[in-house]
Amino acid sequence: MVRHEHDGPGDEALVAAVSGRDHEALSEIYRRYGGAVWSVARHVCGRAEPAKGVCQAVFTELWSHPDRFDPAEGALRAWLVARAHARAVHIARSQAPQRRPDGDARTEQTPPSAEVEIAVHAQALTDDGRRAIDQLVPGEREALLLAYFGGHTTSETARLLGTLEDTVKNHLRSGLLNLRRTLEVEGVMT
Amino acid sequence: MSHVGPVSDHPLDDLAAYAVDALEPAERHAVDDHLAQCAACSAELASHREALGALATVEAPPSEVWQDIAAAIGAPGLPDPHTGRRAPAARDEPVSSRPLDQASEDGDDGVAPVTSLAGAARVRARRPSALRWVAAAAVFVAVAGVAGLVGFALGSSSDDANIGSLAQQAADDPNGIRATLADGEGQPVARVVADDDGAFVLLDALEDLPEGQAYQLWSVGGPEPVSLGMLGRDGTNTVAFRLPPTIRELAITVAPTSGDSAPSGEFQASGSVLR
Repeated sequence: MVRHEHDGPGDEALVAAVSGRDHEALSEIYRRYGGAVWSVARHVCGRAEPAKGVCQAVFTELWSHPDRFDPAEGALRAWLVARAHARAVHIARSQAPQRRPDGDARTEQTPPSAEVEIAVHAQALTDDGRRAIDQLVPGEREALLLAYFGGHTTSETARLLGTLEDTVKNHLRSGLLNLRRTLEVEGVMT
Repeated sequence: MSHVGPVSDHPLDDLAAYAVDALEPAERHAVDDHLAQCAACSAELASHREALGALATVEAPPSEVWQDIAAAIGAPGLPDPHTGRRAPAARDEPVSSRPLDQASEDGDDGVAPVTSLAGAARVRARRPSALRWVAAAAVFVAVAGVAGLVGFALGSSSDDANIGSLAQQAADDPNGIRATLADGEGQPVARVVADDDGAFVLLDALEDLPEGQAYQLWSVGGPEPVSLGMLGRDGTNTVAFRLPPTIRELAITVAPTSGDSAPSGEFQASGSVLR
């Protein structure tokens, strides 16, 4: 679990209070995790306006359906960020179908090279995150940044990196496992 | 809950791609099916998400995000927990119940009010939206000395008047109006975008309807729902419509082709307009 120090009730108690229609409980959850949700949505969407909608939708979903959060499936922060990421990826893809590297003639602009895109996505990382990402083996770092922050599918990521889709999937898994180990060693996660 | 097969049966690589939302729908559904019966993979997914959730920097969201959340949960006066500020009074005003034809007679219908919100520096590039920001940020990267830069061709001004390109321009307008409409599961299935060229509904992921039925757009924030128009039966369609300035809540229903006078059946999608 990611280390975070919060005064007051725990996350599960806050979600239980949200189930009881406690506005202040949702406000406290937003205070704790609104920044993390916003940052991921902002980066993946690429623009502020749709990211605002993503951020709003994630917290109003928690308000309307608090039962969808299951503490047994992970921490609240990770769940909220994952919901935001899924929504942001959906919007990014639906707004930019022409970015898919399928040779479609509708592509009007020269997309940034994979190297540039990877470098830009690395700007979204915390210092701890950057140190952990930089320790990954070649292929893992690139696949993770393009897929997670770039919102690319595995097939898009494979084409951007000039490799096979199965290789990208394998790199994503090994990269995530190595990332977790590094974050644990550095004390970012327990 | 537990999966009894050998480890080789676990889709571990696909599970990692699932965690970063990089699978195609068919692959994603296969992982969903596996997760429903495999506690070990559910635990690994949670572990992946924990690590991913620790990666990004944390920035305070814009104040309007909390204002819209607070309004949506029925507590518009609740201060922004990041700033301690309350929403401006104007954001708490109820949606006008004026019928659309009255709004039109007043001369403030549809696109005109949007003009006042639009900034002077509208960028009309039809650049893929997510990559636009990447291109802008690439300036920083270039200064930082990253090798391998390629040129970014800015899209030329578009004189293409078709609805799709106008809608794309509105979607790209940083000062435009937005709404994301989600289905009952909370998944975004449609968007509303508006700039000074007009307002558009983009149906992204609704089902195609059979003959005799069509989607209908409603304003649902006022005392009575008001129809904003018919959207056709194609579930992935783009339609222009008039967006009166007071509209804050939108919903889409399934109706007969001729339209309903009041919403019937459940909402296929709904969401708030962010101005």
